[in-house]
Amino acid sequence: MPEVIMPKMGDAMEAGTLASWLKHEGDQVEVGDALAEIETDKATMELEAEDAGVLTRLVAGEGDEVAVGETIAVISADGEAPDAAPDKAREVAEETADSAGGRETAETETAETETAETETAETTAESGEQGASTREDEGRQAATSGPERSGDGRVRASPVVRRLAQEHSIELAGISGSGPGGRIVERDVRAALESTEKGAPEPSAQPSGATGTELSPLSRTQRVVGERMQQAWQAPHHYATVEVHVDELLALRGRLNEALAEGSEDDSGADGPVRLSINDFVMKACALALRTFPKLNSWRTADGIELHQQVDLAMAVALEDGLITPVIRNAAERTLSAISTEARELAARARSGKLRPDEYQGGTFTVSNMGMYGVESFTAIINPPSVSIVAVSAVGRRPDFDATGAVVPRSVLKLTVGSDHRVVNGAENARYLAEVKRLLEHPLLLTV
Amino acid sequence: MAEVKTYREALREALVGELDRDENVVLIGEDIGVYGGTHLITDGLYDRYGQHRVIDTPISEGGFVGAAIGMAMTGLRPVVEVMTWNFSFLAADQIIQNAAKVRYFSGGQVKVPLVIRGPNGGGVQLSAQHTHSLESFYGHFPGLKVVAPVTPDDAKGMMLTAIRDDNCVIFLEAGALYGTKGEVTEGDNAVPFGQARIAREGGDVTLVSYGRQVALCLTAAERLAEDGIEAEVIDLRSLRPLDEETVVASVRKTHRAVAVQEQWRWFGVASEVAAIIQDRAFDDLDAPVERVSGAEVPAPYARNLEIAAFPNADQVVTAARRVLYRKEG
Repeated sequence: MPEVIMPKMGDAMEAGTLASWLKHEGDQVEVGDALAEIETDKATMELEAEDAGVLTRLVAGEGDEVAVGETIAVISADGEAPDAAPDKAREVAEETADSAGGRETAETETAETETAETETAETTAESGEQGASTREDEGRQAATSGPERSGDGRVRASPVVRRLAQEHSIELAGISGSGPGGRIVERDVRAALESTEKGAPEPSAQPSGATGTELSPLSRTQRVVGERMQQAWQAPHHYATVEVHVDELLALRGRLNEALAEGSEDDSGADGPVRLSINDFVMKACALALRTFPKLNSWRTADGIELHQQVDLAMAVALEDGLITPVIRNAAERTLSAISTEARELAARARSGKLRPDEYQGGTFTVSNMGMYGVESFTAIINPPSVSIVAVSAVGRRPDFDATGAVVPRSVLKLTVGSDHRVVNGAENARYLAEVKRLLEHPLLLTV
Repeated sequence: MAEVKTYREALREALVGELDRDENVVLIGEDIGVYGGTHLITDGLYDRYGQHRVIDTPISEGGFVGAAIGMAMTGLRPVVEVMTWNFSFLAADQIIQNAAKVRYFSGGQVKVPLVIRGPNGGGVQLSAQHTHSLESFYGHFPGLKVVAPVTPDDAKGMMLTAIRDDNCVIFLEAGALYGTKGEVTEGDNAVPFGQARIAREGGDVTLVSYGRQVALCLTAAERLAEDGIEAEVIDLRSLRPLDEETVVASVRKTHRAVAVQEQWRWFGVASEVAAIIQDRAFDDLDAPVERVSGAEVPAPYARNLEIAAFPNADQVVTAARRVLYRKEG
C-alpha cells in the first residue's frame, strides 16, 4: 500500500505545510496527478502522485505542517484492500479467514513475522561485523539522512538547543540548523541568541488593539525572511555608487527589441517575442564583470571563503509579504535573450508562489532593481552566504558636459554595489563597479 | 612525597605494603613464587615472605581460584594472580557462581575478601585467544567490583583499596603498560572505588575512557588543542562501581561526549557510558554520544593488523570533531 510522503523539495527543507488538497478521499488517481499543494518557506508547489490507485486516506489535514518523510496520504493499488480504518481492516482479515477456512491467515502472518525477525538478526550481525568507528558512523549518517523523526512537524534540534531555547524564550522555527539533516545544534542557537542580543529582532512592543488597527500574525515567509534579513544585516556592509551613461545602451536595446519583434512575427509561439529590459543588460554586465572580480562571486562559509567560478545570479523579486531571489544559473555564459526569457519566467512564477526551492537557492551574487518605481538611488542588504549585491535605480535624463565642455542631454542610471566588508574590501568593490560601468557604456561588449 | 616508579613496581609496592600490614594477606597463582611471576610483579616476594604467603599453584585456574575463594571465606585475604585475564574463563564458574554470590547466599554472614588480578587487554601481539578486555564481562555481574587503573599511582592506590575490600575485586591491569613510569605517592595512597579521575580539563568535549585508552585520549586531546578544541579526559578507573557524577558533570559543561574502549563495541563499557549520559544529561547534549571501540574481529596476531584492530588517536579526534560538528581540520 504506497504511502504519499512529504517530499524534500530543497536542501534546507525540514517540513512543509499542506496548503490544500486537490483530490478527495476515494478519488481514483493516476501517476502524475496533482494531489495537493505544499507550501514551503518560500514557495507553493504541487505534489504529484507517484503511484496509481485509489486515494484511500488523507492523513494530513489542510494547514498541517508535516515533517519531510512523514506520510500525508495513502494510495491503494486497484483492488488492494484499503487499510483506512482499523475496524475495516479487521473485517477484511475476518473475511479472508472465513474464506480460507480459519487458521491459514494467522499462520501466514506468523511466518511473515519470523521472516522479519530473521532479517533483523542478519542486519544486526552485519552491523556487528563493522569494526572501527568510521564505518559505524557511515551507517548512522545514512540513517539520519533519510526521513527519521516522528511527524507532528517537529523541528530537529539537539536537546541542549531545546533547553537553551526554552530558557531564552526563543522560537526554534526561525533558526536554520547546521547539523546533519538540518539539525539545529548549539552553535546555531548561540548565534541566534547573539544576534537577538545585538539586533533585537523580536519586537517588544505590544499591539495597541485600538480601533482602526488590524493585527495580522507573521506568516511563515515573513518570519523566515525576517530572520534571514536580520542575520544578513549583521554583516558589515561597504557601499559604492556609480553613475552609468546609458544613451548608447538605450539605443542598442531599442534596435534589438525592434529586430527581435520583427523576427518573431511569423513565430506564433505563445511566449511572444523576447523583449530585453534594461535590467537584463545590467544583469549580464554584472555577471560578466564577476569573471574579473571573482571575490564578489563567493560565499562566506563556516570553513572559509568559497570562490565560485560560475555566476549563479539571484534576482530580487518583491512578494506580497516578503522577498524572494530566483536564480539565473551560469548567467555570465548566457546570451542576453536567454537571461531575459528566464528572468521573466522566474519572476512570474515567483509572484504566483510556484518556484521550486532549487530555483531560489544557491545564488552566488544578487541584483536588486527598483528602477520601475523611479528610485534615484538605494542600497541593498547582501543575501548570505553570497557577499555582494548590486542595487539598480531608474534611468534618469539630465544635462551633462561632453568632452568639449558643451552641455548635452544624457540618460543616466545609478548602480550601488554593497559587499560584505569582511570578504571584499572597498577598492575591490569600486574597481568591480567601474568594470560594470565600462561594459554598460560599451553595450556591444554584452552581445559578444 | 612521590617517586617515579613503573606500573609493575607500583603494584609490587602495594602488595608488599599489605603483606606487611596484614598477616592474613596471601598471594596465590601460577609461577608467582620461585619463578617471580611471568610478568615479574611478585619478583622477590617468595624469598621475602616464604611459601605459605606466596603460593605457587599447578596450572589449574578453576582449582586455585576456587581454593582462594575458600581461603577468603574462612578469613584470609588472598590476592590471586591469573597469568592473563584470558585464562580466567577457566575459573569463570568459581568467580561468577561462588565469589560473586556467597555473600548474598549467606545473608551477609560469609564475606569473600578476594582480589583477582592480572593483565587485561591487548596490544602486545598475543593473538586472539590471549587478547581480551573482560571489563564488561565481569562488570555485568552484581557481587563483583571491577577496576582498571592506568597510572602507576592508581595501580598502587587501587590495589591497596582492593585488598582491604570485603568483596571480590576484579583487578584489571594495563598489561601493555607494566613498564611505563609515573609518580607514585609514598605510603598509603588508597584510592576509593567509584571515583573517576579527570586526567585533563577542558570545556569543549568530554572523552571518557579507562585503562590503556586514557593515554590515547590524552594524545587525541593534544591534537584537538592544536585546533583550539579543549577536550576533557575522564579516566573512569573504577568501572563497577562507576562514577556517574563526574561523567555527567563534565557533559553538562561540554555538551558532547566520546566514549573510548579497547574492547568490542557491542555491550561494552562505552555503551553503558553513553546510556548513563543520555539518561542523566539528556537536556545538555548537543550531539549523540560517539563510541570508539575495537574492530569486531578476534584480535589479529600480525602487528599491522593488531594496530588496525585497536582504537587509535585519529579515530578519537574524528569522533570528537563529529560531536562538535566540525570538519577535519
